[in-house]
Amino acid sequence: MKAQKKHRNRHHPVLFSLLFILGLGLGLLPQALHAKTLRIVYSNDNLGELAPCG
Amino acid sequence: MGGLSKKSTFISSIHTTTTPALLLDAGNMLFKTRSLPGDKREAEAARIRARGLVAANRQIGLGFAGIGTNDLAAGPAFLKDISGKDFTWLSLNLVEEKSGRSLFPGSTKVQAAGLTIAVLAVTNHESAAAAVANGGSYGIRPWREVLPQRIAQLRPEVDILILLSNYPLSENQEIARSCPQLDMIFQSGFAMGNLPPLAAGNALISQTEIRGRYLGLLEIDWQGHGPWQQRARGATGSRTVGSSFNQRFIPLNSVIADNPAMDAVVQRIEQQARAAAN
Repeated sequence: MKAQKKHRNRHHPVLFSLLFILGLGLGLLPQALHAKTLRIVYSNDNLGELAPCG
Repeated sequence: MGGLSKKSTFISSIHTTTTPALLLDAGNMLFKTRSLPGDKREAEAARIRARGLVAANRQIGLGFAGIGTNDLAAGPAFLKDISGKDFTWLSLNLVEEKSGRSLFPGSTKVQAAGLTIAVLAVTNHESAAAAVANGGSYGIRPWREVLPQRIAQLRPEVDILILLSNYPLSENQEIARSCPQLDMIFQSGFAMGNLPPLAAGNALISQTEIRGRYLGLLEIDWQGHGPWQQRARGATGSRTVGSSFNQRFIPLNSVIADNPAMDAVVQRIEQQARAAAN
């Protein structure tokens, strides 16, 4: 009985680490899933130029 | 060559990647000044170049542009005439002088990267006097009379709100503070070189150098409306709180190859314009 309890206690740090990593992953997941990447190419004041020189 | 030819090459290279690109023009695309040259032949040459510019930009993938005061040099009817089916001029505050009705759509909605984006445009109303001097039968209402209501109407319907503004920076900062629902403002009309994104309200304000020498490239990691975070180029924004961006200006110089097909289009337009001027 005592040996069994000792064996369980030995696994606690591993279990806690796994739970921590899982929690961290789940915490970041919604943000990562929600983030959307977009490129905007913009310009202004072309002022009638087709092919500016210089 | 430069301008349209290199712009075409760069935009083609952007479209080859998995991240979609939205093309915007904040205004004053077509003419050097607020009125056409006094000489009839020079005026016709300017109109030919303007018509060619819209056709070439449509070919590159530009679907709409804000109306700047210079774009009105040949009148609103000319703008409507050259726009075609797949190109829209935008101005929320440009109206018929007598009826007060809008002459152009004030906004448009586009889908990109799974996001619904509203693009609005306003024309600088302080140039209304010049419009009348040009014999135009139109008026330009102050932005305060039309913009806040339209923004409030659009905000619940879209993810991102973009304004193409023909007002100066100080006025755009005031717009951003008055309309915190705005996410971005791209401005035209005031030569001040490349302006990297400047935060005001919840918006970023930016503009490029004049005469088609540069393009602005804004890469955003969208996580919802709110204050922006700037991130280093190449970094992803998933660990930041709120939407993040990085930005750079692309010089359309010898580093970017010319596009032979666009070169031919430009040469053809130039030939037509020169023939009209002589």
